[in-house]
Amino acid sequence: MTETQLRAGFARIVETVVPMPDAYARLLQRRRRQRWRLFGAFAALVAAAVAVPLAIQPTAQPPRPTAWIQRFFDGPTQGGLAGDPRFLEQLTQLVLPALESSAKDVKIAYADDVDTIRLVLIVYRTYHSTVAHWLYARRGATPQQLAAVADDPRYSRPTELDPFAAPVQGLRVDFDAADGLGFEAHDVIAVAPPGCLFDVAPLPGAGGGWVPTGQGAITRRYATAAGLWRVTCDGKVRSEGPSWQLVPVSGGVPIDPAYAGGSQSRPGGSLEEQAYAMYLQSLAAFPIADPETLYSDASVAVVGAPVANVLQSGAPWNVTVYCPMGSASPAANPTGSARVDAGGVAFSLRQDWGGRDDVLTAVPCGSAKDGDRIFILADKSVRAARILTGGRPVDVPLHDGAGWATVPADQWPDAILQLDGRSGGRPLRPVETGGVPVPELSQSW
Amino acid sequence: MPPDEFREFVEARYAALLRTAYLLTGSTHAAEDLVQTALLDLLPRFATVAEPFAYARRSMINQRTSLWRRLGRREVLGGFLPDRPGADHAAAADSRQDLLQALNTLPVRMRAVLVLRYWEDLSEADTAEILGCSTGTVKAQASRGLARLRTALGARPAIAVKEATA
Repeated sequence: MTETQLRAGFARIVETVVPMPDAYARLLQRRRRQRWRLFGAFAALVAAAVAVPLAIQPTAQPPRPTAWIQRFFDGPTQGGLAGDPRFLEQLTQLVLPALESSAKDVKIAYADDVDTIRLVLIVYRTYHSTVAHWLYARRGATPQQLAAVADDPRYSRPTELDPFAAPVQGLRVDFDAADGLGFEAHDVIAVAPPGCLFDVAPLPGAGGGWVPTGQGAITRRYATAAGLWRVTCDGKVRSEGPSWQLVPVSGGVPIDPAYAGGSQSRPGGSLEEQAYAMYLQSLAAFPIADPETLYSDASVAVVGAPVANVLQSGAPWNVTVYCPMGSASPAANPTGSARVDAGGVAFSLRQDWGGRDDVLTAVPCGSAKDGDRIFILADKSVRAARILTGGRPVDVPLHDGAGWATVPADQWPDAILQLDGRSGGRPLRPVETGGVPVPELSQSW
Repeated sequence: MPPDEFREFVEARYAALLRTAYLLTGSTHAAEDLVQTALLDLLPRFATVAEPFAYARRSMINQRTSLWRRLGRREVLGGFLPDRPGADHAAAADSRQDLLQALNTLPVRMRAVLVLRYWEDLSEADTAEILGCSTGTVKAQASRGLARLRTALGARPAIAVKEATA
């Protein structure tokens, strides 16, 4: 492609780009939301300033690890590189300077080459927690190369060690563009303690049962990450969950009660309850002390159905919509506009925030299977919405102020949203995409 | 309330910023997100910034190429294009889609170089200044980017789109 061709190509691409009406009004609305977030962050800081000293005052002791965490330290290294003691020893020594200064009991718990990536899990203790520090590099990377990226956030992810839950989600490795290798995308689903084995299964409704992997770790490309996994240790299922931890999934088994001890805490109950509780935990940095669920649609039993959760505790409210990225059948995907993978359906996340005085949003969630779906959220008392487009009006029954509508995306810019049959209405304002369920302020995810 | 001048600026330049953002992201919603974030970044400085458009454009590039921003995004976008061809001729729509998919295979900084150089018509020096790199890097990235697009478009339709960004 020549420069001239690219210029012409760019011009062709932007021919179809037309701003939605009332750009300025939408900008101001977003500004108001930002202020809510800042308020929330400030309130969280104030709460933390009060709560943290109270929390740590009674016991100024390092957390006691659970038996499962202890297994990482006591058991053998896992992964295909476990049989290379020289590699493990070299890496352990070289990586030390990049770890927290209080790190002790440093151990490589897992090391393997997965597709084109070399993955290493280093575990260690600090005064406050037990850390799982992931390193990524190209397949075959030397200890020196791995150690060189140990403090580079592109290739290094320290996080609190959770022996069963997915330690790293949505890993995306962007190798230096200049070398021409381009982009790699992986999910590292989980590494269980030594002596444990994983089984995997597709999402409910997708058909198929549990399949033993025979391994203590599962790694998958992100597009095939949706599904279920479970860990069996000492002949007993200890934990089970959706591989995309925020996706509510019905069914499942309780978590081993023994797991809840020590420094870690994790919700019990069905998979749906676990996922929901984990979702609440992810919002812990925000001032949602006692969130009220306004609406929850966990109908992923039909693969590909969008899922929405809405939380509110005074203000701000928060809505997160899980939008399927794939369709169950390639035949249902004639436009090629959605990912289709045999392993399941990947979800993208859409999120919006607002205050009590402005409980109204429209969250787009397009998919080849479901059409251009929009999640409508209004005040709880609103029973119905009508979307006026150039064609036939779309009536949307709302339950607790929430519901789904299907409106072709090319009609969104001109659409008007009416609530409860009131005249007038307001422009349909689909929220911008790109939300992160973990507060943006943390930035590390 | 923001000054009237800011409103006038938004109304006059929003579309231009949105087009650039679209080329940077390939997604209508991500482009809107990028533009709005840049404008809100500009707002408190509007009275003192000499060239607000250049400031907003730089802000968009910084957001797009910022390491933390990229790592911070959890949304996983697949290699699909949300926009529909509309009433345009199918071949033209295919051509647009092909190029966008090829652009999606490029790393964000390389893509930004191509957009700044060949859409915004910035010089190598100006592009380098915005991206915080040398003109040599800009030259090399532009050259490699063109070559990769050439390869990707030549290999249609089997373009593997792996990028997962917001």
